[in-house]
Amino acid sequence: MKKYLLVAFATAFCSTTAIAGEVNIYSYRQAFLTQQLFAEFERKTGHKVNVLVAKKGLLEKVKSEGKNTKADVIMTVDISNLYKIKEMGLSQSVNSPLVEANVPASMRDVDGKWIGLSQRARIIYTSKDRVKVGAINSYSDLADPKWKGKICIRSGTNKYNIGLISYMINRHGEEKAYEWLKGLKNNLARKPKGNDRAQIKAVYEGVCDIAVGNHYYYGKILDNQDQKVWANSVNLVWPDQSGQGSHINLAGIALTKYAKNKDVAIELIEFLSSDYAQKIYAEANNEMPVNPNVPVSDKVKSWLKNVGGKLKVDTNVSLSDVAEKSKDAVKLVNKTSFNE
Amino acid sequence: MLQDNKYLQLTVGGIAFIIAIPLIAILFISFYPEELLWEHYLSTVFPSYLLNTLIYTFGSSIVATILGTTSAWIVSSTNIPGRNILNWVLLFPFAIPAYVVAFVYAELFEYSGLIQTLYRWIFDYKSYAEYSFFDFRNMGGAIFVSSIVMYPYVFLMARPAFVQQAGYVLEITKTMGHSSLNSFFKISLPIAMPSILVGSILVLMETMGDFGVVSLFGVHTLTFVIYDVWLEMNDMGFAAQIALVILVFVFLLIYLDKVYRNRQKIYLSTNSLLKPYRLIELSKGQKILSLVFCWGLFILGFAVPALILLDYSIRFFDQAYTDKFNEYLFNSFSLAVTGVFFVMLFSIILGYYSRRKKHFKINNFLISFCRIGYAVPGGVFAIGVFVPFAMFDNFIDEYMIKYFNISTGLLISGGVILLIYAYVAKFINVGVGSVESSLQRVSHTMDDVALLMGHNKFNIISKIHFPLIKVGIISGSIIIFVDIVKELPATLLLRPFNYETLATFVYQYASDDLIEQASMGALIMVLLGMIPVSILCYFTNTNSK
Repeated sequence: MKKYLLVAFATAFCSTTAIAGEVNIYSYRQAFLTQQLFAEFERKTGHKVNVLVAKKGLLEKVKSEGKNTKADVIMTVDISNLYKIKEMGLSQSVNSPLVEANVPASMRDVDGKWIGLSQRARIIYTSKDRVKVGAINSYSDLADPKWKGKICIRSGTNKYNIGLISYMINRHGEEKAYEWLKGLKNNLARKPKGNDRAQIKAVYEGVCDIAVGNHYYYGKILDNQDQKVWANSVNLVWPDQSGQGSHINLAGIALTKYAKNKDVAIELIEFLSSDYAQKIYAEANNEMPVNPNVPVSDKVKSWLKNVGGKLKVDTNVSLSDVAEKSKDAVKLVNKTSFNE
Repeated sequence: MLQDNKYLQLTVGGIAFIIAIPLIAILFISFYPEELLWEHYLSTVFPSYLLNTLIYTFGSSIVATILGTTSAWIVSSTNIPGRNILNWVLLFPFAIPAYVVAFVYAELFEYSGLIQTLYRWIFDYKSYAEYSFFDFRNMGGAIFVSSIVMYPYVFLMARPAFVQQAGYVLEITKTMGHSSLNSFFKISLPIAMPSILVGSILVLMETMGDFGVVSLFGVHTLTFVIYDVWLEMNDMGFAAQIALVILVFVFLLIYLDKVYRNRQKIYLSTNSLLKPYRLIELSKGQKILSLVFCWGLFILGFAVPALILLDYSIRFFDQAYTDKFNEYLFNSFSLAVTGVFFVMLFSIILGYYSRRKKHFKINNFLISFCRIGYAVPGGVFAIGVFVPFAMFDNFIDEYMIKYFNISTGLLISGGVILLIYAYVAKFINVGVGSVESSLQRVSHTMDDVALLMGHNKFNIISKIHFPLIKVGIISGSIIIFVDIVKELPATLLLRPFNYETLATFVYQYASDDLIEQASMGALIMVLLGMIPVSILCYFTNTNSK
């Protein structure tokens, strides 16, 4: 009797049993960005996609749930998160020739413990009225004293900025990166606040002449009837195109170590890296596809016109190295009192 | 009903302990930092971020207290025209999430916002370079937004205290020949102080853990350090240590409040409710001033943001509307109702226990301790909730596999039960605060007399206590209801798959400054918050007539 009750209890509560044709996603990406992709996946394969979106804490959640976790994959922005997933031992290798063919080796972990799905460049926006084209060309220029009181940027410890600062540490060494960050801090028009969108808006409003932001934000504000004027007031500067190339970051995915729906999960990762899905994603959010067969969206292409239609990316600094220096980057931000 | 026995002591201790689990978990996590960064932080940003934290939290709390107390006194003790309507609408502001109000105001005061556009038009300026205008996104703006949306906490707590004394304070005032303003400072305010402080401390704690408003306004508080260390430096342990610094501070505040409370021995009798409810007559000038003040609060805290949201949701209807709103509404509503029920249930038990004369010291400590979760930054608190329960689930699972060959998986985590638990653990502070402060106005002598007259304890509670504490309990419930509807970090992280509430729906857009898409969801949240607010008004208005 006791045992019978326990079985009944277990079946009533046990929702972790794998049901074929389902995949559970923990995601740091906003639902409205991925909705269309998941719907397409469901339509094409008949599998059901379950999503849990949060802003922070998902990795800790997977970790503490251990082998009973319901998550099959984790989707996230930023290389530091992807790297952390591997470091924390939360993921397992994806062995899929298809994924390997779709995603260049530099955009995925050597062991397949994370896979990049899209690229984003951290770029410079300049005022059409107040900054001459060609007056600022590189990340290093941001520290040039001639821009004193002219630059807007979001919080120094925001992930995107930490990525850029770690990149600078890798590229130029900690000492020089520190000097650079100090110079940039001295050039700020106001205390760092708001997100990337707000910085472009500040250029439009005349608060500053130069803003730093991710490239796809330009598309986001172009699409908005109220904000279009902001976009039209700025020029895009792809940094260091005549030198080492721009710093890019990744958004990506990882297969959890204890995935219950491993096959469907791999199918999903293959789908997301496929030409078909990469194209949808490139169009929807104007991020750049990782799959070399898929061109950037027409919009991004038009933004790249002034650099010959193709972005030069700094491939000498590996993304894992960028992730590894993020702690040092935070320390630099603190040392320069960047946010004050 | 409440016997002096070990079992009662153990039960109460057990309840407080279970509610305190997330805090205990955070304490444990803090024992395992990756690196001790104290030296780095103390020599860099910590001092100024700490100062920002103190200015922001105390500033918001003090301003909210002044706004809430003044408005509560005006509507409960004077003959201001339209009292019943004011009673109702003055509560509206806290139905809108603070970060939404913050965004709306930031927009309003920015270059392309209405205010500066008007300013340029009036003075004929052409561009930003020609004039200087203050930047709303700073400490002052953050304090403005927080106090304008949170003064209802103080209002809600203070009003019952003013209502209950209205009759006889006026009598004393008359006998002693005080002016009405004098009576406010000399008599009404001291009597209402314990209740007011409950509200002030709520504001203080809520702003302590705030991230939404401060990040939008570039006010760097310790919450930033906590999230930087956790998310960018990957050091949960050290982040927990910084959180503990805040918590020790909050714990001290709650303790001081308790000491103060125990010294205050002002009781009301049921008699005071029976006294004719008499109001202070305002002169014409006073009336106008009071009206401007009260309606000003309503306009700034509610009408302005709500109208802007309405404008957005009409202009961007296609993007703002989704046919899933009824589902989100249902989810938010059912979570809030269930949450309120359990929070209040445990709050009444803990609140009554605190009122007794005989306590276990450890229980007293646990009850104060379990309340400080309210001030923990939401993301950290959510970790404190799921880590121990996932451990528990995994332990049971292993045990069941070992002895019965059955895998139970995650029993509690990942379900709505854990979410409800998180609400109890987070909002018990509001519940216990409101119960304790209302019970405080009920004297022990009253119990003794009733006992002598042969009433049993159940009778005392239902016939004597309940009428006196009813409004306090309902007020607390409303705060909890609205707080749950707005709650974000725990809801995001602990909800089941594909489960959306109004708050999570609004946040996915609002977090990316997409106020157009978020606008209608936010308005529906506000409407949902108005339901309990209206119920309260129905109760208090019929009560005070």
